[in-house]
Amino acid sequence: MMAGGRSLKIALLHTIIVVLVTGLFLGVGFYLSSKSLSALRSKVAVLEDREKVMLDKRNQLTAVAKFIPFLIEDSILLSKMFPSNPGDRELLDFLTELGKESGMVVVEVKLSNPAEIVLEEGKVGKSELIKDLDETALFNFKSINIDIKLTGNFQSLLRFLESLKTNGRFIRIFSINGPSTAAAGEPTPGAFEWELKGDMMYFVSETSLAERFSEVVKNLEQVVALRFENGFASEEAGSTLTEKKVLMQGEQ
Amino acid sequence: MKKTFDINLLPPEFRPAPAVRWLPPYLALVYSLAVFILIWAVASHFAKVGSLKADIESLDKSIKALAPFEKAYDEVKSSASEMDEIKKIFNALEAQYIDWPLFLTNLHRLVPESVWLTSVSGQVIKTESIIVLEKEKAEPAEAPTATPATAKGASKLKKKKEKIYAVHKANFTIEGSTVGQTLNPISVFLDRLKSDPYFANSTLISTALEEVFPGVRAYVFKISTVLGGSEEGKVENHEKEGEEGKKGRKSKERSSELAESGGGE
Repeated sequence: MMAGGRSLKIALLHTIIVVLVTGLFLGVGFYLSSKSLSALRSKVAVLEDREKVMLDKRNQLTAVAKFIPFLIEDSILLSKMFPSNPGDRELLDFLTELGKESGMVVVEVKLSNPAEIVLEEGKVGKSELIKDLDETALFNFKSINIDIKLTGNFQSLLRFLESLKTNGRFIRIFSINGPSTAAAGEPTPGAFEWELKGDMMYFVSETSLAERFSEVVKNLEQVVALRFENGFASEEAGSTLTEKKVLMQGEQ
Repeated sequence: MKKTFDINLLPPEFRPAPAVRWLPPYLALVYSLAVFILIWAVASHFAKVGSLKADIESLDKSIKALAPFEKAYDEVKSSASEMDEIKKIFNALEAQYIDWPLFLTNLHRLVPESVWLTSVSGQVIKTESIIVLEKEKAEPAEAPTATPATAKGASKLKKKKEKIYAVHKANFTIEGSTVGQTLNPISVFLDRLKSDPYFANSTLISTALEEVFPGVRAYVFKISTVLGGSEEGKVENHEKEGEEGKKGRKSKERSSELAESGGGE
């Protein structure tokens, strides 16, 4: 009877010790494990989020590709308007060409030194047209005063001004003097001299916007296996955008 | 010291069975269970770690594979937003300059035959944004007046689109001379300017009889006027829209569509 009681005590003691030690080990192990596991889980969560964002972007590439022709068109237009440097030689060609088209003869062109562009608050105000404009972006632009003397009649001047407004470079006129006769003598119909004073703007950058965008398009072409020729997408052999899209969805 | 001896004289068949010793197996069971639990906990931990590491590896691979797509997307997106910013700058700059073709066209029809203009200079005082409801399927005329941009969300409306126009208000100084020694053409010119809704506050600053060419005397005058003065003038000019403005509007519409399509970011 005595021996049975002793065994029971021993069993109880061992059980308690085992439970306590196991519990202690499990507790410490769980603590350490949960720390490392939570670090890993958070890393997985971050990577999953990143992957999700990337997948979204990849899936949207097909939609984005639709806009590429228009963006190419815009980049070319904006590059013409705001060339990456003053482009003096191109300016003379541009003015001469414009003059020929509108029936004016460019007699003299004077340019000032480049200056910063300042938007005059009073003029522009809080127009919807410039809502959310980041004015620091203006630091990338420079302005040059331009003084152009031309000869031609009034209708030609109108055509010239219209072409100046709608074609090519961003040159805006703030003052027109004329018509006057060149040098001396009586005014001759159809041969008046006009003096236009204005500003022309350019974009301060090593490469033009169109060049930079063409690099972007090249990268995109490689990724989506499309070629944007003359602003329109054409399929490359063996891989269409639709197939690529299906492939993309299948991979998910 | 007292010692006890147990002597069992019973025959073996009557002897009691030896006592069952339950303690060792019990302890073995308890210890085994404890060891099993610990091993299971450790194994489970390593299994979870392994699984998570495999997930990370797979995600890394996937991210690496998706990187070119993301790069291409981000580049296009950033270029598009850069272009959008340049368009805004274009609009802002455009608002600072006078629409000369429109101004001169309007001025030309008011100049009497016996008046000779010598100089016109102008400065924009203010550019206002005016919201106009576009008529259904209305085809705008070719002559430009302002740089229009589609109002927020207007591209989605099929009927009566709202458009925002930049309307210039500018001060002009017109200089010229008369043909002949009479002031009448100047008064006719002033009268026409005052009655035209496109111009406002037309006032004569000065006039004097001067020798304009050797042996030719005529009245030289200076008139100041304000462009875009009356509401009628503004409304008339809204109807006219230039190619440049159209391009600007289309671009803006495309940019907003692109922004909408990139909503996943």
